[in-house]
Amino acid sequence: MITKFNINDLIVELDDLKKDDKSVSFLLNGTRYEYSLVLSYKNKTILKYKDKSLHALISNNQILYKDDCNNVARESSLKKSRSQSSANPGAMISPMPGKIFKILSSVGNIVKKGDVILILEAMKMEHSVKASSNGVVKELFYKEGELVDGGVLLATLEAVEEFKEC
Amino acid sequence: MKRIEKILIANRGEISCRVISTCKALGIRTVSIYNKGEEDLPHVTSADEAVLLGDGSLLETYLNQDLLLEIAKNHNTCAIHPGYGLLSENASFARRVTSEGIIFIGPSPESIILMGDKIQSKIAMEKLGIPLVPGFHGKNQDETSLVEEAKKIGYPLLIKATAGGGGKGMRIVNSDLEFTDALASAKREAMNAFGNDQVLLEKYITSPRHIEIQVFSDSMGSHVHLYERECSIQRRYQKIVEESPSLALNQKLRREMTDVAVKISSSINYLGAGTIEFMLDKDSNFYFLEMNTRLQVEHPVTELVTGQDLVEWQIRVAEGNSLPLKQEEIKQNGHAVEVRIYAEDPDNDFLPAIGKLNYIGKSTISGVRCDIGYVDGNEVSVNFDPMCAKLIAHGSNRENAISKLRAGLNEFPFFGVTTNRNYLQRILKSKSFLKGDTFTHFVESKKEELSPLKMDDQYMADLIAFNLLNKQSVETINERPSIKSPWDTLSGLRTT
Repeated sequence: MITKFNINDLIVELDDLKKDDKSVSFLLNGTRYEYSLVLSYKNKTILKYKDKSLHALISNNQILYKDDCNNVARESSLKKSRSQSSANPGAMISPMPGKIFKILSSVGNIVKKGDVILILEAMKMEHSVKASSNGVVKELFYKEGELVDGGVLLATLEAVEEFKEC
Repeated sequence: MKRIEKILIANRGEISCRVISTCKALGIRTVSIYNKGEEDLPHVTSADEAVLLGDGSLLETYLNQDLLLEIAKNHNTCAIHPGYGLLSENASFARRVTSEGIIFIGPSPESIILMGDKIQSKIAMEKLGIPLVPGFHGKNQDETSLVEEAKKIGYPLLIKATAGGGGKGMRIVNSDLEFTDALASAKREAMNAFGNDQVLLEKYITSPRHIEIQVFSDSMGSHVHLYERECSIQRRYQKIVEESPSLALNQKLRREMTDVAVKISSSINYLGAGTIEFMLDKDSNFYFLEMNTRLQVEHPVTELVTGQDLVEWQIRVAEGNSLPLKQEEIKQNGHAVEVRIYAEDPDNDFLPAIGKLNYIGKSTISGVRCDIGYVDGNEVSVNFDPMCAKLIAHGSNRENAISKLRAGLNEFPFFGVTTNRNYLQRILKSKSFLKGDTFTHFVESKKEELSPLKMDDQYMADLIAFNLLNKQSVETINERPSIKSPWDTLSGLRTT
């Protein structure tokens, strides 16, 4: 059985996952990894791997381990986030609350990946919202000067097929 | 001489908390201000008194001079500490405060006006013989004449808003082809941010370091410095890593720069805490940039290296006392490094982030200090600057300070909000930073070196194991004590 994980937006597949309260074992890219739990108290977790003890702070889906603050999502939350974006691959979502400062594109415009569609003003700075793929601007939902929440749909793109210049 | 017994802190966040902490140590009562929705922030809960401003715009609340003066009078505060930002460099506010018989903890309005005007300050400094970056600081803002001046200075050059700060209204121009667009966008940003779109032009120095000197003056005419801070590592023209001493200064250069800084503060008859900012080029030439007439965000590195409390110094000289130390008594001891923790994603163009902090962390390392304006459970909102906290480490030498700071950062996960924490770690362990190869374009020119590490299988396996084995459910971790202390509800209780 394959179990999928999303680590920092990278999809990782595990095979032959065996788990009880105190230990876990799985195959990752053909290598077996075995860990046992030493302590899990509030947000602090200590594991044993071979002869080493590993320490991390964990909260919700964030892990602070060694030098990195990582986001690890289980398969369930992965599915949720995927279904949202696959429903509308050309959806351009506002990254944060702010004001629509300038719209640089209009419906029907052909845009390349990375082209600035609009500029959002938030936290006293300007932020460009860029096209996620090549395509045609299908809908724009706001006008300049309007206030928007984070996570709302700002515009949709209709993807066009990629072609390479020869 | 007037003893200060109660201070209104006309600010918010970490700097208000910083001022409160010194006031408590000195037995001075504090009055904090806040907006609706900020009731749980520590600058509100840790002050002796807190006054609700309202829930309007900045102009109606934190920048509302009438309201602040009314609060100061109603609460019998004998002094106002403006912090940094907001009204800290507003001369008319300083004047109004003083004319009400209240002490403004800062310099005179005249000093604020002189140094707040980037053109007038440079003219004054030129007269004093202070070295300046070649440029155009004239009143003529006509585009064709600005293009002419730009040609005289040569490219690359900088367009800067004269009323600016924090990189707003600033553009680098590489050729005359880019000039018109850059000018328009700098003016637009300046008009939005400061209500004034006047600009100046300056020669762009290619590998500059940002070195600043902390100065302090009392009302008896004593002027000292507390050495340098290097703040070369910046993003969007805002500092993210600061340290003292700077590796770029030898004793001779340190003496020259501090001499010039004290010459400036004494010549303008300055009072209180100030910072003289210089640009240092690769041939050790230094140029006056500006003087900040307030306490700086990065003042803690100076405090740790000199062992002094600069807020206490501010209060003492504002009372009319002489400076606590003479120049020869102020020593640099060891090394201090500060990082600014911002709610933003450095791997996505430094896009600001918001969210609820469910676990900030705490330091267990000796010599690591965290200046912060949040506690667990607080929201980081869109309304203010995305700086969450400053983490500062003091060590016997630079390596020691850096290693403490890196260990310290690992104790502060800032769970719940995306921060630049991990990016700061990458800076602190980069070869360039460790060598002291620090310039103001560090973030751009070392982009490769600062990009996220690729995860190997072992690392990913470790993370997955942690995720599968940790017992805590979402409920337990978010279960922050929401029980209010009796002091919150029983307002009539006295603690003495």
